Amino acid sequence: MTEVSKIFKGAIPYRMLYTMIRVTDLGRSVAFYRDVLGMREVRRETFSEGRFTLVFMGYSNKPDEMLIELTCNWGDNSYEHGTGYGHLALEVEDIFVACDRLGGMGVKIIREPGSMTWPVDETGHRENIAFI
Amino acid sequence: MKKARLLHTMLRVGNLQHSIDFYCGVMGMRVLRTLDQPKDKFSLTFLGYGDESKTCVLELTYNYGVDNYELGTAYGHVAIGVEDCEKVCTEITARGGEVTYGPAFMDGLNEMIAFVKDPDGYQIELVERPKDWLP
Repeated sequence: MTEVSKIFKGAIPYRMLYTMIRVTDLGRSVAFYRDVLGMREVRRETFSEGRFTLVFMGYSNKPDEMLIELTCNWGDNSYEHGTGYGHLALEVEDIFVACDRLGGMGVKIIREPGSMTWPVDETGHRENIAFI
Repeated sequence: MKKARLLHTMLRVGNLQHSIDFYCGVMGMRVLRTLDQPKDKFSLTFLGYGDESKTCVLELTYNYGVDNYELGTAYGHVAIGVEDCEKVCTEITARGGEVTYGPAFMDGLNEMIAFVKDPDGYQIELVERPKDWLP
């Protein structure tokens, strides 16, 4: 533990838990993240009074695993995507196999898998990317 | 897919330095790596609480000359775990951050939460849970 975190013990956030996105059709979204992206439903909270449902999806239910929170409002639930939020990134073992599989399931591959077109950064980090 | 995991959430920001000051100075993250690409007029900054090989991080994209974005209504927020929600909110306020909700105890969920706003107006949820919150 560093000096700073000793002084401010408890007062500094320490890990990312989940990213929340609002969805229109919960069944369709859960099926997509589960069957297409291979996640599982980690937990579900239904709020009858507030009229919304939260479903947490992830690759494991270990307490420190990052999740996606899908919020479904029962009433009016069409949303504007805006331009600020970009995307979620998933790591896969073999991006070419993954994209073949996704394409075969009817997922549109927006950017075909391949290396990044810009040079490696100062960490020497290299990767192949694709967008769906 | 055999093995997969969540790597990062990407948000576009209007003033990179303000965002870095906020996420490091107020939220306690550190810059893990940056990639500035002047030719294509963008810059990527990865920030987080730990190594990217182990934890999920935040990617901030700055497009040269674009100082604001439509936030829309579909994207919600990133949730961040804290040990002491009230203490964190006090600290965030002291460091110039804006707490927009809470801290409030959620009975049904047995957790204390609060929301803060980042420099672009993105919401961030702070969540404090008992150690044995998950089985």
